[in-house]
Amino acid sequence: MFDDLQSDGLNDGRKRERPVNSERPLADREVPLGPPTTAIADAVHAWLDGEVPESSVRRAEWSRDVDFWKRMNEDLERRRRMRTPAHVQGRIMEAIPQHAPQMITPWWRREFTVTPTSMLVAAATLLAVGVAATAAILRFAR
Amino acid sequence: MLAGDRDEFTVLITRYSDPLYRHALCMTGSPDVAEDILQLSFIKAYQHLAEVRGRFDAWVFRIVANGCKDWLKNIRRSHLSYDEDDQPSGYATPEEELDRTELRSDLDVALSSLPASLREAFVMKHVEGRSYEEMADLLGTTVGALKMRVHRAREALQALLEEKYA
Repeated sequence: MFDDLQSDGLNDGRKRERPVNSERPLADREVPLGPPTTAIADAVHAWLDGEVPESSVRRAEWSRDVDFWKRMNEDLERRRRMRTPAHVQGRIMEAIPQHAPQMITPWWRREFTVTPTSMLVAAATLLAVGVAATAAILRFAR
Repeated sequence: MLAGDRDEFTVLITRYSDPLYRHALCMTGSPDVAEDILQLSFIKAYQHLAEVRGRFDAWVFRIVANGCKDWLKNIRRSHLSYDEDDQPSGYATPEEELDRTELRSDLDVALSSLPASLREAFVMKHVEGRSYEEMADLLGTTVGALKMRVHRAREALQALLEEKYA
């Protein structure tokens, strides 16, 4: 029922090579395959992740992968040194508004200052609401 | 800074712009677009400073990363190139310089053919030099998922380029 993953003798961490049939119509596949891929051994991924030293992947069967990624690293190294062009910072500062950043605080987080006037207004409002509610209840009860 | 101290904000731009620019440039492949995304992201960051929760650099990274993804959703580029960095060339001969330009161009095209999520993971790992834990924190996903994305990106890039460069 299930494939024996080790039956082909690839027990050294290298993944099974799976041929990619890109000519097969997309409609024939259950899931689109995405870009074609080349299987890379787990050990080589570990080296690329910086988990093991290069000496641990210096084996004949992986030398092609290792050489390929060392070549790629020449360009990746250059990309790692890239700096923001000097004029960009000035451009950003020119575009930033002159006024202070707006503080958008939801009403329930805002501070309330209690003054005698606001207390009177709140009390009057509560009294009015209470009277109206009582009147409505009494009318409904009749 | 919330009181409107633009000088303090300049310090933040100086400190964080390079890794953000690298991310935008590698994701979009265009220096002009990368500059625009960086500018809009810092303006947005300035306008919404009061909403920062946690680290500023992680927050502004997410703004830039989302800006790149939005741009990629709308634009499909077939060939990408960008200007030289300010570093002096370390190559001795014109042939080596030509090889370097060709590799850069081929890698740009290969990167642009990857799905955005794979490209993002690859760039964060191999250009920005971030750890998987840091990437997971920034992108709000798991280390395992990101390892899978980086591995798939490598395998796709190697499939595209190994005939010429292996």
